[in-house]
This record gives sequence, structure tokens and C-alpha cells, in this order.
Amino acid sequence: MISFHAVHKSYRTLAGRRTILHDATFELPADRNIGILGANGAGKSTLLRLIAGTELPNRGRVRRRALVSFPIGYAGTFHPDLSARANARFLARVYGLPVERATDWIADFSELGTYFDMPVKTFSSGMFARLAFSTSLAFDFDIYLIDEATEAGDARFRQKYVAALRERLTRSRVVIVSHNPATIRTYCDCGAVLHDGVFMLYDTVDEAMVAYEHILRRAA
Amino acid sequence: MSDALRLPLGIVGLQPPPAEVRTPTDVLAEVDALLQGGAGEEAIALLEYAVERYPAARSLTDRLVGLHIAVGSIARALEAAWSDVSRNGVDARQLSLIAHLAVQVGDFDRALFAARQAVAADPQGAADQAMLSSLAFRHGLTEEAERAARAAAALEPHCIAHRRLLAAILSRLDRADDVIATLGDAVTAAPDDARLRLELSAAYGVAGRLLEAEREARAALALDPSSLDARLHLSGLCAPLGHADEAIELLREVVCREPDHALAHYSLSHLLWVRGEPDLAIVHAGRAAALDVQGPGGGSCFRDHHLALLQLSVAQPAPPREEFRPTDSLLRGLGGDDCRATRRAGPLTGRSRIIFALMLREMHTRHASTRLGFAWAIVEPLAHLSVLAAIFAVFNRGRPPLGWDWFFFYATGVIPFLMWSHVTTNGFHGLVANTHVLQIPAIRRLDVLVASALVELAIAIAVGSVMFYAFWAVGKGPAPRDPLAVIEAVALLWLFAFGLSLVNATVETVNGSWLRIWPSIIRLQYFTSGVFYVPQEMPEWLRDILVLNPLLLCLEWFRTGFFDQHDPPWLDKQYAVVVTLLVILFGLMLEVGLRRRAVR
Repeated sequence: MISFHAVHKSYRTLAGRRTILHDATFELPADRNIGILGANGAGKSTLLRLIAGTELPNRGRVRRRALVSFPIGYAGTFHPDLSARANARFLARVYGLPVERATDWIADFSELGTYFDMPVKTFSSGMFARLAFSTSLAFDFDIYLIDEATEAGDARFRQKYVAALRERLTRSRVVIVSHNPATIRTYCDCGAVLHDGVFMLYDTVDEAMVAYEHILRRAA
Repeated sequence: MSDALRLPLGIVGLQPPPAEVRTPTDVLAEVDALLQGGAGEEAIALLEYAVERYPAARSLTDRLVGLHIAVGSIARALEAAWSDVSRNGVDARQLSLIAHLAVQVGDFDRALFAARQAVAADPQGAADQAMLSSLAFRHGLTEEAERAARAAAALEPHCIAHRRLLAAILSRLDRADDVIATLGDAVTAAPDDARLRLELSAAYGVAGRLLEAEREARAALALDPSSLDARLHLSGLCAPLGHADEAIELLREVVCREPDHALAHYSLSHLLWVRGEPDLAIVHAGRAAALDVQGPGGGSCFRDHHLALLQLSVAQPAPPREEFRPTDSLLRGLGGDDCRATRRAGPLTGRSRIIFALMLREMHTRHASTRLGFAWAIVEPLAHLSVLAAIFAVFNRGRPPLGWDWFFFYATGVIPFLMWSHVTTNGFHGLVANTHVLQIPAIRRLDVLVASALVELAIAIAVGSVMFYAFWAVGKGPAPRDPLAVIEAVALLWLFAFGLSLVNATVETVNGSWLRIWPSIIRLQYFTSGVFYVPQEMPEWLRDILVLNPLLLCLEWFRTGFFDQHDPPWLDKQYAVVVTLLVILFGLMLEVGLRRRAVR
């Protein structure tokens, strides 16, 4: 379960202060898969990092009583100079998994072949996506945080990844930020909209979609 | 136009003067003047009058037709041109104008007639041939249309539009091979026209030559990577060729770029269903049905598809999923009890595990980025020692203040000092180098700072052991008299340095110029911390100030472990420990207070 208590987050930009969350208090239900919609620049990715705890709010408190994944699809987390194997070993150590077994599993699932021992900076974006998704699936997180990116990678790998994630969703939950309504409809059973510093949680994806479309229309 | 002509016009005004005195040239000049004055209606009236007066003067008719077109009365323009042709005989230019005007007013019979006459008058006019071709095609006269289109294409081989017209006619005649030949010629003439390649691909597709169709469709997509049509078309080809995955991929791209593309959703739904992904198939079918209100069959086609899928999915709750059944052990992840260790481990073991992982990684990256990574750890203190020896060889004759070898004396100062300076600066560099790592929720800034300080400690211990052993082995220095004092001093020195690294890292994160100031403080400390002297050599007033420096105290403490006779009365261990703890406390408070302002 993840709860936000009076969380305020804003950035200083050239165009003045931009508020991403304005003293928001809410709770993400522990038994639901949540799809978060928001216009470009509404701060969806920042919200995901707030949930993960890699970003701290200006004020307020975020509590997590669950093992949260690193934001998947975000280009960070991997050291460009190290090989995929070294990166995987590091993550296995951090999360306290049997290092060799976890690394072998990631190598198998990602199907990177000899590239698995090459520095990550030499990877194409497709290979990078394979590595990131495979790595995230190796660990049994309670909540998977996914950033827009389920469309990455080639079709066959994506199919495999989707099947594995579906399997994982029998015991874990997912929080997805995406533009793509199809992605959110596929995985999520409730929706939320982030707009203008306000986070609104809806009981169904459809309600969230309607609200989101309304916001988009008003903006246009 | 000369003033002599204009002058009488001003006097005459709108009243037409006696026609006998004016030639067609005069009339045209007069019309120009009227138009300049904004009197369009009068100009037209004047011209109509003049055309009747001089029926053979084509220039007058041309002007009249032009004026009619300009004011938008196409029908009157057409009549004027038509009567001119009937008065003055056939003229290719006039006829082609008539054909155009007739098309505009919707009089296609007259247009066809005029176009035929124009082509008969001037068979070399490619535009007229093309005009005739499209008009004949419209009347269903396909043979005449084809003949004219071929003539146009032959007259202007570089013009793609003529070939396109010919191809359209041929494809209506179901002559696929001829269409391919025509479009193939056109593609050779204009290899960079994505649209044309797509049309050629469609022609191949109609002819059943799917591989060639695929090749052309790919070429079209390569020429115009943003084209949605090319993607839709190629996806339609990929499915029968057995690349269903790629077809799905292409349609997904279309849907991503244009989420409201009903046809793409519809096709995607079909493919996904066949592929064994009923849930996604239904989602896309529903989207297509919702989007397409007046599509083929008034939207009912997409809606029927959606309903059919829903019914089928109820009838077959688990349609076959070919390759990836959830039973596949790979999908299950690692499994096993040991993989849940993360949650069972207490906070402390979790932290130490993370710090250990970070240390291994830091060792690895140092080694990976420069081959000299670890060699440098030995070279640096040696370089310091050589420089110190070179400088002070002149001043310091005889025995050093402690021990019997100058090199060894300097080493007891330089090695701990370098550890201190490395730990104080490398914490922040560790944070910068580990920006990626900080995106992992389990890892905190403090973990990275502790890990990099521990790595520096480990390196310093290794380097120090090697060097002091070497001094002892060649008889240049004593073995430690009091190893415990050495260990205590190193521990305190490390804690003091770690506290400063906390302060430095936090201050640097908030104010990005601090780490440019800190190296000068380190250089100052080189002189105030007793690296190359002992405080008893200093005058008393200066010594009283110097011994307030915790770094100097740590070095003194370190030296008491090596030299028997060295037991300085100003070594206030309590003071050094208290200051160190205060620095660490201050560093932690800064970290807690300012980390929210740290940009990751």
C-alpha cells in the first residue's frame, strides 16, 4: 500500500514554478492495478519517481508498505560503462537474490546472447528495453512501476514480456503511466488522472478516460 | 499607354464614343483604364459591345473571357469562348480552355467534345491529351481514354501525373500487368516518390505478386517513415506473408500515432485474435466500433466484428495461446524461498548488503574506466613522497624529527593525509557517478556516500600496508610499535573524513561551486596538518593554534603508533573524537535537511 500525505512537489523552471502535486493526500489501493493518465508535462514520470521514493517531495510524506520496483522503461538504473551482466549482478546483490541464478535468468529471458557481456552503452534501444524489462521481471516486486514503455522492443519479445507480466500480476500489482489508452485498458482495473497539481483517482479506467478526454478538450 | 489616348477618355466618361473611330487596341486600352478605376461591369459591357463590333478580333474575346473568369461567372466565360470558336474556327488553345470551363460548370459532354477538337487541332499538346483521357474515362470510353493517356505519357515522359492517370485507367480495366509496367516506369523516372511506390505496391498486390508488393511497400515506408498509409498497407501484406508479428507491430505504430484510426484498430483486432490474444483483440475491436460511426456499412461492420469477438470469447474462454503459456517456467521468474530474502531481511542487513553491492560496483567501475585505476593508488603517495624529499633535502640535513629516515617520516604523514583528502572529496563524485543507481528505490544517497568512503578506506589500507611493509623490509622504518594506536587513528581519521564528505556532498548538491573551493582547503591543510613536520618544531604560539586542527591530531596519533619516543602532550584524543562526532552529526543533519533540494 502506498499513501501520500499532504505531498507538495514543484519544480523551478525557466517559465516559473511548475507544481506537480499540490498538497495532495491520497492512497493507492493495494489490490488494484492503476493506470495514470496525464497530458505531456503534467508530471507523470515525476509522480512515478515519488511513488518509488527516488524523488523526494518538497513537503509532506510518502509511505510505502510494499516492495516497489524501479521505474521500468526509464533509461536510468543501468551503468553505461558496465556490461549487462555486471548491472544485473549489482541489482541482484541490492535486492538480495542469489546472484548467479538471477543473472542467468535475466540472460535467458532477455535473449541478448553475447551482447549480455558488452557494455550497456553499446546497446540499441530495443536491446536496452529487453534488458530493462527482463531485469525488472527477475525480482518479485509487490508493485511494478511502468513508465509508458510497454510498446518498446520487438513484437515477439513484447509478447513474451506481456505474458510474463500477466503471470506476475496474479500476485503483484502494477502502476502504469501512459498516453496509450490500450496499454492502460489491458493491465489496469482503475484509473487516475494527474492534471494541474491535482491527482484524481477513479474507480474504473473508463471514468478516468472520460475525465482525461474532458481535460484535453478543455485545454484545446 | 500614352497620355494622348487617356485624355479623351476622361472627357468621354462612361458614354461609349462613336465606334467608328476606335480600333480593338483602343478598346483594350480603354478597358484597362476602366479596370484601374474599378469599373469592372462597364469594362465587361464595353468588351461585349466591341466583340460584336469586331467579331474577328480574338484578343477582345480573350480579354472578355479572362474578365468573366476573374469575376467568377464561368458560364458566361464559356459562352463567350464557345461563340468565338463557332465564329472564328477551331483553335487548340481556345478549345482546351473551353474544355476546362465546361468541366467547371459540369457540362461534361461539351468538355469532351472540346477536348477531342483540341487534340485533333494539336495532337502534340500533352495537357490536352491528358484532359481528353480523363474526360473519356469519365464517359466510360476506356479505349479512347487509354489511347490519349498513352499519348500524353509519350509526349511528356518525365510527368508522373500522366502515368498515374494511365495506371488508374488500366487498373479499372483489370489489366494488372500493364498497370505494373506503367507504374514501374514511373517509379524508375521518380524513384523518391513514396506515394508512387505505394501505388505500385498495391498494383503488385492486386496481381498477387506479394513479395514484390512487400518490397515496394517497404521502400515507400523507408522514403516516408511517418506515413500511416504505408504502414497500413504493409501490415496488410505482412499478414498473408506470414509476418503476423510485424503486421501487428506496424498497426500498433499506426494506432500509437493516430489513436482514432478506426480501420487500424479493426485490422489490429483481427490479427491479435488470430494470434491468440483475445483480450487485446476485443479492446481494439471495441475501439474501432466506438470510433467508426459512418464507416463501411454505417459503422455496422466494425460493430459486428466487435460483437462477434465478444460472443466467441464467451464461447471459448481460453483460446489457444501458441508460444507462451503461463506454465512456461521462464515466465514464473526465479521462484524459490531464497528469492523472497529481500523482504525478510531486517533493515540493517539490507543496508549492509546494498552498501557492499555498491562497493563492489565502485571497485568494478574504477577498474573498468581506467586501467591505471588501482596503480594510481600506489603511484600517488610515491609521487608526493618524492616531491617532499626533493624539496626538503636542501633544508633537512641529519636525522628527521622522528625515526631515522626522511622518506619514512613523510610517509607516516602523506598516506593518512591522502586517505583523508580522498574520502572528503570522493563522496560527491560517487553520487555523480551513481546517478543511475539512485533511480533504484532501495538505494539512498547515504548508502552511496558510505560505500565510496569505505572503498577509499579499503584502498588506503591496502596501499598503506604495502608501503609500510616495504619500508620495514628494506630497513628504512620501524614496524608499528603500537598497532592498536594505528588502527584507532585510522578509524578516527576515516570518521572525520566521512563527516566532511557528508557536508561536502550536501553543500555541493545545493550549491554547485563548493567542490571548487574545497581542494584549496585541502592544499592549505597540507601545511597545517603536520604532514612534513611535527608540532614541537613550531614556535609555541603557532603550535597552540595548530593543535586545534583535528586532522593534525589524527596524524600525530597515527605517528605515536610507529615511533616509541613520540608521545606529544598536546595530543588531546577526547577533543579529536568530540569534534569528529560533531562533524558527522552536522553532516547528517545537513543531509536530512537539504536532501529534498537535491536534484537527482
